[in-house]
Amino acid sequence: MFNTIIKEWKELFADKRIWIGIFMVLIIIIIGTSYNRKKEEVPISEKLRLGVINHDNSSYSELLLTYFNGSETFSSLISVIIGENDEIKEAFQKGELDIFLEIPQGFAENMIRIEHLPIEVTINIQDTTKAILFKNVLESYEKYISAVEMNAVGLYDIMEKDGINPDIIEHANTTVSMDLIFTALGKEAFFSFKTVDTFPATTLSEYYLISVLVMFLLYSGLYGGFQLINEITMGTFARMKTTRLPMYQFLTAKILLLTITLTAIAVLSICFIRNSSYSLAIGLTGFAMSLFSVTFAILLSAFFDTTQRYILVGNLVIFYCIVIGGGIIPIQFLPQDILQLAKMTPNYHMVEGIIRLGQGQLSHTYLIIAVLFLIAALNFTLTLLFYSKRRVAYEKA
Amino acid sequence: MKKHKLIGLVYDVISIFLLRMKLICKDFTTLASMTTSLIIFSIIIHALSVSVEEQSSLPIGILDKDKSVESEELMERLNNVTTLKLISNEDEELHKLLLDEMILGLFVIENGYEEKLKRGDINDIITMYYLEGNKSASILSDIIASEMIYPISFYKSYRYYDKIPFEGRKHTKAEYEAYLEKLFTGSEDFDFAFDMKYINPDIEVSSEKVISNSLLYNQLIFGILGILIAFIAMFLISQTVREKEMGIGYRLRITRFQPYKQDVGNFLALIFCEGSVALIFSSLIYSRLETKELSLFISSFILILLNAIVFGGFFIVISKLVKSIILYQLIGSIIILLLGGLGFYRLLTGFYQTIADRFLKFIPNNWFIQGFTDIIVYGNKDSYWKEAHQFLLLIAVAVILLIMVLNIIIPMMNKKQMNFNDRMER
Repeated sequence: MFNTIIKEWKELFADKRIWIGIFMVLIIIIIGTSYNRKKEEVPISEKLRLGVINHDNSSYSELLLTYFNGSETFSSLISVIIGENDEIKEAFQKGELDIFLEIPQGFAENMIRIEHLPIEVTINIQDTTKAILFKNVLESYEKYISAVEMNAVGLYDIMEKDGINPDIIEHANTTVSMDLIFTALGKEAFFSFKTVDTFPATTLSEYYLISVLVMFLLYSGLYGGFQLINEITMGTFARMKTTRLPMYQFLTAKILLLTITLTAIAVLSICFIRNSSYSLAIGLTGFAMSLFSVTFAILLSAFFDTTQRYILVGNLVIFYCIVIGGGIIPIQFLPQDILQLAKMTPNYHMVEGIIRLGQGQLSHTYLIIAVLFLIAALNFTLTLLFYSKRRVAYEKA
Repeated sequence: MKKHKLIGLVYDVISIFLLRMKLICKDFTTLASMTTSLIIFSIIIHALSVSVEEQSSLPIGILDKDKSVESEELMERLNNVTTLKLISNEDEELHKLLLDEMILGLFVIENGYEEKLKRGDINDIITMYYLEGNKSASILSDIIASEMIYPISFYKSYRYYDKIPFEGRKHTKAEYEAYLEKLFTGSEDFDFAFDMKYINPDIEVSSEKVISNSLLYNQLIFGILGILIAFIAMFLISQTVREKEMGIGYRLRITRFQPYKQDVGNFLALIFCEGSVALIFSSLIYSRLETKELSLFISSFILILLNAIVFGGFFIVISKLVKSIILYQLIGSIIILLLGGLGFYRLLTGFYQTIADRFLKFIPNNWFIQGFTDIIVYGNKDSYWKEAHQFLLLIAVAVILLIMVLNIIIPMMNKKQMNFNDRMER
């Protein structure tokens, strides 16, 4: 068996294309991870850019703008630029602003008289994601303004109806209006924010890098089956059968070497992507995924006589699994029907396993590892059965 | 003489086209692969389009520990917010969903919510749990707060009213509430709304429609369609690689049959097959549009066809560079998956302008999605030939030029190789 392993080692690394493939995948993962880490801090150039033209210049509108500039939550995502009419519109035309709004003259005064002067908001539709985000945020702000207005005006009306002293009414109106405005502006105080920092959110970049890794493992597994069919075609398999080498040793050597190579790549990549050092869990995850990929591909090869058909079917199966199983559209965006189908694909569980591993949910990860080992064992057993019974054609002399 | 040559050219191209169509129809493998792909992708597209409205909402978990009148009213108001998809369950289940990232945030209406509201103590009345690094947390809390602001304002203003010293008869709380409701129900005076306009400053076209949240999810559907078109193109062109492997390519060279005629014939076959697919899908898309204008149908059809030509061209280039059908299929599939994934990545992270964005915007998948977005957003306001059409045409022309260059370089390289082999044999 040792000699068989040496033979497999030499065959695997004799082909330069394998080295190129491994190198390219590692480069993609390293570059992707480095880029992802650099973009964690959102610099000002990457924030949403809001321009404001304030024709009102009343104390209310000034107060509003000062609040938005000072609010940590607001300013962490949006940078506010206040300017003159021409300046802001020119900046928008040049694409330097994502949105601008125009507070009309007499806005605050008219609000008090319930005469709505519309605030015009112009949104850059080039980026639909940003445009929809702004639309949703502004729609929620409409409710703030309406709620404050309703209650301020309602109170005024009721006090007038009661016949309360007009001076008291005026004072109450101003006090309550300011109080309600500040309450609305200080809406963050309604919430107690608690981050779950033991399980950080998976960024989209990380998700897609994990997806690339899983795709690489599945496609690389096809090489094992490809080699096997090649050996059958060339007659190596027939010659091997005449020796005393047991079938299980032959298959084990083939599976083991490729699995170890893929495991090394998988472990390295997971450590890079999740920015963590090596651990037993990462090692086991990498090994389980690689073993599954290789044994699955080798089992598939048992059903085909030519490499072309084998690669065609293998390629299609992996392609469909990746498309359905959250390799292209992240799992969180899949509708329920497709999600049920996705759970039947191996890559769904592999991606989930790596994500849970990074989050520290080891019980979930170990369960996935156990299942992958089980299926790999089943694949190996079936492959052994099929190849043991495989008849070898002999040419008549 | 020239007319004779032209007729000869047309005849050769049509011969290749007819031959390619016959081969496609007779090749069980190609037909089976394409049919299976069409079925699977159609199922995915159908499932996505059916759940557009539901999936366009932001999923959040909500747990009412207070179970008071005010908390239940808040839950009811939040249920009516189309931006949110509320998931109610037990505490443990909701925390699990949060950790599985199936909900973006978990909001817990704490005990004493109603009491605190009435007292005017509005600090920390709701706890929001979210995963570290989740940048949508503040936006979610803003949306939730917008539904809380009315009762908060109501209690604040009533408490102030209640404390005013007045000798006459004041309204009771119930009367106060009833009066406000009577005042505001059906009144447009208090229906404040921003006057929102959507403009593309580059082409100075505006959209009069209100942009719906479902637009983002619809873009995913277009992305999947783009991948399907590319996949079909890959299989249609794969036959040329198989012929090369079998040696038919070399035999064809002896006949002095120019490679460009083959490429044109193959392109025609590709356009014919992809055109049928384009017709089906553009009809489906057209049927779902609000405005039924022929120009929009033509726009969709041309967009799909241009995408097919771009990817068909890519695969013709690959077919000229590789000798093995196995390598061609593997490279082709991986390219389709990578480009598709990058297209979705850019779509989903469009929130931030990043360095990668400047490169990712040149991916054909990105322009394909953008083209359909423009059709939905602008309708027939702009011409039917949108920015995306122009870019895809540009990429298609670049790919065709590359094919022409390869048609010149490859025979030269093959000739050098043959001369070298001859010299070695001597």
